Amino acid sequence: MVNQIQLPPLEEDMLKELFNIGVGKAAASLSQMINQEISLSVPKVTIEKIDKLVALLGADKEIVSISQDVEGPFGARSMLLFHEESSMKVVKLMLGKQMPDEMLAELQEEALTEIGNIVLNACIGAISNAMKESFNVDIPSFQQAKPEQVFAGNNLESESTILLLEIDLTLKESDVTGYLALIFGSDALTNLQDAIGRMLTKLGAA
Amino acid sequence: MPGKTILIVDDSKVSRMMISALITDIDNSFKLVEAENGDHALEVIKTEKIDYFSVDYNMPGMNGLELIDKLKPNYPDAKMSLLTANVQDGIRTECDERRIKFTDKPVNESCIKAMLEYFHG
Repeated sequence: MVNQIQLPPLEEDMLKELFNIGVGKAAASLSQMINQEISLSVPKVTIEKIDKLVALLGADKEIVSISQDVEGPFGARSMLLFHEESSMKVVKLMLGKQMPDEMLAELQEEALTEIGNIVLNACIGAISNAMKESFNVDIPSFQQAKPEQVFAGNNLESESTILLLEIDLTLKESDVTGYLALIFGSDALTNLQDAIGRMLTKLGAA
Repeated sequence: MPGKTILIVDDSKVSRMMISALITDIDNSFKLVEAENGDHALEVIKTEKIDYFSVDYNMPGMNGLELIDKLKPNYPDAKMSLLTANVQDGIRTECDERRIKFTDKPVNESCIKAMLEYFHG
């Protein structure tokens, strides 16, 4: 069972709105890169154990993950996740269908890393600009493995508790779904709440 | 403007490929030279005469603005563009302060055209 985040309604609303702004910009960037419209799911904000995210992705399915650490008013790990077979379709859309498959395979990691870099930075940039706060964004890291191995490689064990902001990005003309997640360790939650509180104060809401 | 050389600094091979292809499509008179990070760029300029710089921000080692700060004393009049996925206002402001162009990724025809117009201007 998924736990709903224990934030006051106004703070939760602000968090979802910030994430919406970020993901909207991220989807626009991805759409430009692959020339295809993208539909976005309603964002979910939940407190999860990592194994819930593993189950969502399918424990036995190979995934690719592009992650970037973000540091600023709060710290988070931003992740763009695709199932492996979807990721190849995205690369093909980005680099052109006429490129030979062996060259596509050779460039897959480079291309997906750059896609992740652009999409995740678009998301963080939009959040940063909306908050009027600066964040340092680390260089992107690529992984391909089963979900549990990917998260273990990110120092996220199955019992780790995380605040998960999750959204599905679905390409309208291809059978591809990606997942964008911002993962906060429990110690980052206070900083996140403080940052949201500052925004609400500026708006005269708190 | 024949014979001008652009140095493309980006740690992503795919990005360098896309930037190069788009520049060549728009104007094939440029000589293009590539570097995969700041240190590599500082090596390249020892042997190449560079007129314009397209520099990524988020790279291993020094970031794009740190590289530009190292380049500026030797290239006070060269046109430089930060071509980056990092679209935060703070990065734009840092570009304005250095009087260089901020160009946001994704790499596409319109952003490369805008960058080349800035170089030509």
